[in-house]
Amino acid sequence: MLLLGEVAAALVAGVLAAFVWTRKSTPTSVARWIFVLATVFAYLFFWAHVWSITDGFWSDRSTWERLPHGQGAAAGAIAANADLRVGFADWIRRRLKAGDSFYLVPATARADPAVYQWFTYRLIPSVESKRPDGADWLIFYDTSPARSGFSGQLDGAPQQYEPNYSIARLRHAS
Amino acid sequence: MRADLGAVGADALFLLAGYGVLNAIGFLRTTGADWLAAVGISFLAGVSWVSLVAIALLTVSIPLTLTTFVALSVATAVVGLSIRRGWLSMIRRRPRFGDLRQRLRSLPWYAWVGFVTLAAFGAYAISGGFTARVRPLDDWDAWSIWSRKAEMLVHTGRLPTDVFASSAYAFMHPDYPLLVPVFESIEYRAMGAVDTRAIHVQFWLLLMAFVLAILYLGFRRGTLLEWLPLAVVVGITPSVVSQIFTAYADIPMALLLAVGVLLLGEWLTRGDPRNLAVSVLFLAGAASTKNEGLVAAVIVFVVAAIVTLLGVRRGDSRRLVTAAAAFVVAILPWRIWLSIEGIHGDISPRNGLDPSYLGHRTDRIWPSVESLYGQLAKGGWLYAVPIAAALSIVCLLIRGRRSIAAFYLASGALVFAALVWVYWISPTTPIDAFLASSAYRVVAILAALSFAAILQLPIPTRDG
Repeated sequence: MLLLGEVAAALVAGVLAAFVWTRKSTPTSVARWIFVLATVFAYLFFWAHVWSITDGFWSDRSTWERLPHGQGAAAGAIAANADLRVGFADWIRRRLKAGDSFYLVPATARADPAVYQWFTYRLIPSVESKRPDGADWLIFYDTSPARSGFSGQLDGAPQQYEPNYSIARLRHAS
Repeated sequence: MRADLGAVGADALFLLAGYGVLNAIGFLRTTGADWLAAVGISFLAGVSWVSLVAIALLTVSIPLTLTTFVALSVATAVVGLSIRRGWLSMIRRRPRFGDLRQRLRSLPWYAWVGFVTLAAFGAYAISGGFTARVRPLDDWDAWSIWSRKAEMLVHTGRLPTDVFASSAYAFMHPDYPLLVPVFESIEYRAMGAVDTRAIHVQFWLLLMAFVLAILYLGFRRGTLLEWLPLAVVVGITPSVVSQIFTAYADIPMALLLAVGVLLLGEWLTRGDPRNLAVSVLFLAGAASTKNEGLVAAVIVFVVAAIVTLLGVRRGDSRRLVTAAAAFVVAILPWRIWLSIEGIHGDISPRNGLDPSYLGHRTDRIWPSVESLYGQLAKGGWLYAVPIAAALSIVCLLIRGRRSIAAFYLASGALVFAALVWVYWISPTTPIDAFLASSAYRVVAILAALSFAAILQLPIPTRDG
């Protein structure tokens, strides 16, 4: 009911203002006075807040400009999930060729929206394949090739970022 | 450095294209002051026009490169400026400063309040720009939906059908309209790199251009001083400022929608076909920014048609039909491409008309109404909706204002109903979490309609 109350308040304010200033409350004068009150409110709000918001801008700026480049680029992932291995995604970026396809392993990593969406975002223009056998690369996130059952299908040894975080080419990959 | 200079270059081209389009329509008057004041609306018109054409080109596999963008903008400017050459006379005419001094002296006191406010707003706008320049892209949808698509366009120059149609990428809502990704991708290309921090300046610029656009429309209408406080306050409205910095598409859509609806309302009251033509450009832009923008644009066209048929503009229905046809042509390429590629969103309008589907989900109606209603009553939008509703109710009682008041009331009510309907038929569960993450944003459409209503309803133009 709050919104209806606000509508009623605006109407009453318009009627009162029109009556006080013009001694008549015709619809035209009420509309005009609601508008006048809205502009007065706009001016008051503007002058009451413009400097504090501007000040807030400069303080935000000083915080953000101190962020190192890499941290700034990965801010989206950190905001989505503080434990997300953003460094791993950037490490892979340097190893995949543009257009290489990949598949994220295991299923729990694909089911985690933050991990899945961040890796598919950060690895553009590489594209996630719908199936592991259609991918050029497998990305092992918090698992190992042996544990995920892919060790027999790899083309060479996996490249390891850190334990349980590695990438490997599939043997039959193009 | 390249990021800043490149973006400035791209923005200058958007502006030029906008001047071309508005000049071709005959919207701009041939005075230097008018062209200078039209910088905001021209920029927004350029963004809308260039992005709409770029989307159409992408759907027929014409790549969107920097060359395509430059060629498109320059061609629009050249053609648009050559169609009507009245603007050349303002170059030959010398500005009359004597008159200006006289006019400044005769200004009322509240005009000086307006000027001081405008100066403070200028300082605020610059501060916002500096902050936007370093803000990291950390809001989920900004990187996962909007910038993702923009980066794909940067890397491929085309619409990567395999990605858009892949179930592996369904989460990025491939059916969402493409204006924001196209705009971002053009800026990224101009910057020479995908600079996800510097892109915020462009969103900020859209907001500042909107404020200038409203001031310009007030200026040509003769109500500049009356509109000035309302225009500048949009730039510091809490919900607007916090959302524009997220780099989501909701506020850009609402800005285009507000200008489009305001101009459509101006056409309904004054009948100037140039207002209608520019309105189509902005409404098509809003419809190409978010699906909610499409819903709102369709609703305002339908309501305008009813008002035209029943009200004083009865003879102008043919013009409105032509305008609606132009709108459809502008948004159709993207819809045809989606249909050909078999891409669809998670919300099925067909389900929305199926009584048994609707009947099984009635428990979603009330939470949606409650949540949307609650958002409108909160102070984040500076009470724009209740003020507009009050004005509309009063104007229904004023002869000569009845049609336009009915236009805004009916449009607002139908948009509200449409939003509830979308939540009702959406498969996303749980509804509470869905509402918590989106209701505060989607009500931007109603705020946009309300803003246009507040500006237009109470004060007729100086010329009647």
